[in-house]
Amino acid sequence: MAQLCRQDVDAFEALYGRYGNVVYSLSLRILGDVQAAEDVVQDVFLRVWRKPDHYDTARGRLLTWLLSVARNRAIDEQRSRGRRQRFEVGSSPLDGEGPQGDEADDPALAALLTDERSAVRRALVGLPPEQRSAIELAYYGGLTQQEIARALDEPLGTVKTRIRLGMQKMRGALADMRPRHEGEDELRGSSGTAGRL
Amino acid sequence: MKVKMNCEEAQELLDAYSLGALEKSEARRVEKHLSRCPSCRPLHEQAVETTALLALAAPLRRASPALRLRLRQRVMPRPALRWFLAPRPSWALAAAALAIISLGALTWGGLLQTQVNNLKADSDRYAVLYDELQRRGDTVDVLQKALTEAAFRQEDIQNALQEQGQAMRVVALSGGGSEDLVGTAPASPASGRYLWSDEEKLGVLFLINLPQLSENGVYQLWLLREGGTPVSGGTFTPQADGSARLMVRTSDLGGTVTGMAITVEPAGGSETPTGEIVLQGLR
Repeated sequence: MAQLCRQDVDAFEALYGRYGNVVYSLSLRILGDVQAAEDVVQDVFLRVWRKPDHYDTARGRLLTWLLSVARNRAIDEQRSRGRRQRFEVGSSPLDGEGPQGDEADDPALAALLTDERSAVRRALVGLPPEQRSAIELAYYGGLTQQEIARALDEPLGTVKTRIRLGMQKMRGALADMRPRHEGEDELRGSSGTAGRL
Repeated sequence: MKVKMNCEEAQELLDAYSLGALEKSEARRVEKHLSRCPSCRPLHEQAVETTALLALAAPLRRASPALRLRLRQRVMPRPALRWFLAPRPSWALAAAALAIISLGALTWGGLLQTQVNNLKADSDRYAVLYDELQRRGDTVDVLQKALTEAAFRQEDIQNALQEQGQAMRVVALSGGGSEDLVGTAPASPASGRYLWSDEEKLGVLFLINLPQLSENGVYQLWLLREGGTPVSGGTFTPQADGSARLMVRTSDLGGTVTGMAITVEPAGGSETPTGEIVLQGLR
């Protein structure tokens, strides 16, 4: 990050090489539109470039921060377009077997954050379907608890409890990987760029 | 009536808050609580971390190489500066240029020099403007933050007043009715009354003489619906004197309530009742 604060173009390119595809995949998952997803990625990385001091190292990992910024930006875009992705139970990105997306024909891409992605997918698949569905509607669909309750025709209290319990379980399942990933060292992208930002 | 959100309420909402799944007014109350509660902040950061990791469940896609190029163009030094930073031409090219000049294009060289000087002057001017714009942008950020804070504070007060008014109307009118609750063997001295207003679509539960619970337990209100499963009316812990109050939005319950009971559940509450009934309605 110190290099980015000095407006080091190489450091910026290394950052994009490491996390660009992950941020793009999330944006595309939310928006379902290549152009809109690329716009979000561009906004997020230019924001890092222009205001690198907005990232506070004391408040978590750089990857977490980038994904949070990207997700918020993508949901804002989704709302401004007045589009709500219909996220039906059974259409989850976790359904089906084996690699998905572009991983199958790109080993370098498939190697990106392999352990973390597997752990998150395992944790989500391990949730009861109704808890998983509520969390996915909130995270990828950008729906509030009240909107989820209406969409699923369930009482609001039930939806609140599902989200709370589901996220508690996720946190428990992912707690083990936190100490291993406090550093960003192993978060090396397909560009093979080493070093730490 | 909740004038200030306490830690228990805030912690119950942190996951939904991190997911952006709360209604605006509720999200602002959580934000306000976090701004003044150092003990809840680490829990919020954990919730944010867990939420952000959900992104990794999305199928991985390759962004187009054009996007990388576009970004590179946006972050490269400004063209005027690049002109000066570009490598010098080779001697062969320089000789060719000299030959052209020697053939009488001296005026063209002068023109080029003027353009270079103009570009340099433009570049310096833009650099000053760029710095000025960035400084103004930072000031606007600070002002915007202060205005947002003030708006949150105003909304908090309005929300608190609104809730207070609603609770008073429920107590004064209780247009829907009331139901008494009595403690069972584990909490036999406890008793309470639930008042509700159909007009306000709100209920208020008042309880006294509740036994204190361990850190890992909460009381949870269950509203029983005809032919349906019990619906949670919310969780609570008693005050030091054993009293408690809970507001219930009856519009969230989905169906006519036919009875109520209170159980002890693990912290955070349960999706369906798992503990022993400690108070029940007398209907």
